[in-house]
Amino acid sequence: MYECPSCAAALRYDIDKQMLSCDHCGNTLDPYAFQKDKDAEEHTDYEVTIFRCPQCGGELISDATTAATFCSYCGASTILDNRISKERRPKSIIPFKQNTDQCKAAYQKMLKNAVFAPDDMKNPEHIEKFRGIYMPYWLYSYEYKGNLDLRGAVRETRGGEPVKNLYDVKLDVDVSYEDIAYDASSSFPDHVSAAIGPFHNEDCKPFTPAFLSGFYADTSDVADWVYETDAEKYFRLNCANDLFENTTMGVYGVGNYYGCSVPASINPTSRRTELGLFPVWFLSYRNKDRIAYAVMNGQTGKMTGQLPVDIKKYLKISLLLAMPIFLLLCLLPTMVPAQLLTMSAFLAVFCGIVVNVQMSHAIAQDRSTEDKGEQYAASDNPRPTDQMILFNHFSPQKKWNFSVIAVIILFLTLLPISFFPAQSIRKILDCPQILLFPAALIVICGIICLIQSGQKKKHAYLPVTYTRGIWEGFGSDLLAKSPVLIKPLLALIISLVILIWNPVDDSWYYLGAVACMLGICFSLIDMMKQYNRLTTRKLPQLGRRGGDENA
Amino acid sequence: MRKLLQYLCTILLFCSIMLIPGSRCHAYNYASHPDTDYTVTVMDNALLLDQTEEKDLLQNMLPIAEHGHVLLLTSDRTDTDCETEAATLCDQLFGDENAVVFLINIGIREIYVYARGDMSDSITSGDARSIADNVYRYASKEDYFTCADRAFTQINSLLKGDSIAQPMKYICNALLAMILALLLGFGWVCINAYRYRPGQHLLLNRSSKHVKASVTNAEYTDTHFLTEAELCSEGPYLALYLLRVLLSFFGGGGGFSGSGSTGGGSSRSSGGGHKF
Repeated sequence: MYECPSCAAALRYDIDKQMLSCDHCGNTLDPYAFQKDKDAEEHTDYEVTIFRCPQCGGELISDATTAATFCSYCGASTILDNRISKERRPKSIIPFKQNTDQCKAAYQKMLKNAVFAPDDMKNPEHIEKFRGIYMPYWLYSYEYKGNLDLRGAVRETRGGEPVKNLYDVKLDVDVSYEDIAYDASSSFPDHVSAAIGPFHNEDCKPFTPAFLSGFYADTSDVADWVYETDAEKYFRLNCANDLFENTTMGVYGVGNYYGCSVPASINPTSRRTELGLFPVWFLSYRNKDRIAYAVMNGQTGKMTGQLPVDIKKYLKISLLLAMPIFLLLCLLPTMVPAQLLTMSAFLAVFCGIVVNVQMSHAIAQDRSTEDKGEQYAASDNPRPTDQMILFNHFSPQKKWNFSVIAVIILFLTLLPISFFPAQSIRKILDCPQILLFPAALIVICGIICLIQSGQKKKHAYLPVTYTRGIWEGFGSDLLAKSPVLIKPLLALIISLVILIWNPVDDSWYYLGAVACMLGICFSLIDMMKQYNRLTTRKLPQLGRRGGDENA
Repeated sequence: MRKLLQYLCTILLFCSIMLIPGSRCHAYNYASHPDTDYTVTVMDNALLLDQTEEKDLLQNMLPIAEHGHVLLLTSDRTDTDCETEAATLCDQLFGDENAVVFLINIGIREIYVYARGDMSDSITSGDARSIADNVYRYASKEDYFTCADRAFTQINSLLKGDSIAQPMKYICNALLAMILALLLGFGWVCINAYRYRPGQHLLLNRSSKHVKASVTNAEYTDTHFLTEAELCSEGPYLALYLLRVLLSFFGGGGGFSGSGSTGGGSSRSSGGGHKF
């Protein structure tokens, strides 16, 4: 606890004044003017460090990564100096600039667009529960100074024949990037920390513990090399873009020559890694045993939050939305039941594709396969070699998105069938070979997608034990997705059976369309339940008993 | 006696010829509107109706003749579709004049409503489909009289400016609207979720950067002639190549025609049908 020199009351960092401030006498102090060797008293018993509150002597409850917290007994803000020792001391800090009122306003603005969010989340009492936490970030700096030898190729037509003219291009380069930031806490999801970025390093100040007074703070539990490849990749790719913008090398076709990649050629001559503390506001919303949270950038005010969806609200709003759509459809030419069934089947396929993509994201998030920090904390595998990292990230071959191509071919094939179902089905039954060509293209695209997916997994950063084979990954994902995907698939099968059978009675077509509607509806509900499960999780910092609640 | 026997044989021969299948001579029932001179015709080629029913239908169809020719056609042809059959007969019988045809084809088991000229403005393709959808069940039950009767009643309503029941249209639109609403709602949820997913440029700190670079030397070294395989690795060339292959596979012919499209001849027309 930092004490006011005038009245000995607790000092807190005031966001509006950007100074240490005493709530009792109004005294303000420069954080750098206040030096203190240690705040919390430390005792080491049985190889365990116990922190005691400097004000009341109570034992402080904290996690291994806590750098600043509040005493559960008296509410005093306390800094755990042992956690920010020489080895783990941050180089810089961006102090909070957004206060709680601005936080609440941003949250309410975000809720306005969250039409399907539960009404409980809009309760004003709820909005009071914001916590300011300084989160650790790794700051990577790179520099390239020297000559760069590249090859270029310019395409032209000579005598009707396409040719490439080859060039050797030399550049003199002096480029540096400072403070490329990645979050250094395994409990702070990568996608959330990225969503509230960027922070502006113009407000960066040299670190002093006084800034932490009145807030929570965490230290890093992720090694600096975890994000090194991503940071270096960012530097190389953006450096290459800067070179294209600032020089005339594009004229010589640099970047078009197969085997010469500009990013791969930019090997940094200097590298530096430091730790920084950045301000983040966290809001928690508790529903039974799950917590959802919203997060705001404490400097810029950018808010993010994966708010859960109230499924009953979703169904009611969908019903309301159906009315204007119905009126709009009544203005269009009359549809026959066979056309309705074909379009419903088409929409069921579309729903299946969308849900498949969403489920892939959800599974990745659930398994944290895309969160390098969490993967690192859960494993103790060795750091991959530099050679492997460089080769895999800067392959010069351009890859087509074959999944998109497959979807486009499927769409173009189904489109005429949806408008002229009876004639199309007859033509297909008379001459099934019509479908062979698009089917073959789709299968080829699918095989290429699987191969690319396996290659991506193989060459990913994650150590070997986290890499799955193509079929193993596909199989396990399919099992996870099958309860959701089975519904539109069944609807599609029912529709195809009815279309091929081609009954006279319209009731069969209506039945098929209803099956499609139910398949889509239940599939989407399952998807939203999965989404709700992922948006609600326990945030370790907010599971603590905060002294500011009890003081 | 011999002459009497000759007369009897001639009569018997005539009657036996009349009894030969396929050579039956069917008289078409016919009437015309007193004010407009438009005709009302029942051509029961498939022999689905008896004389009483035909006469009743003629009475029901007569008010329609105020707007144009009216034709009820039954057929068992399988060598053509209903739209072509109706349009061809209209050309032969009525030329370019206003006309409406209700066709019952038991060969391909389809009923069809075809309108030409000014009548096609009141009886659109959508209306024709709706009428066919409303009455096809009678044809399925082989109650062709009721099928035709109800059809012409609805045609008459439309020509007078009244509306007809269109359950098929509203059921189809309601189901499709519900499906689209569910998908649009989910799309809104996804958009809101993805609003907070950053692009690559937002991921990182706006780091300070310093860039100073220039080309010091650029030297031409060689010319390389591109092979077919290298050309196919380029996106636009590959796309054109695949398109050429696709077009050569499918050829230039083939096409789909939907029910309800405008028919042949120079007159405007509309139509719609239903299987039974």
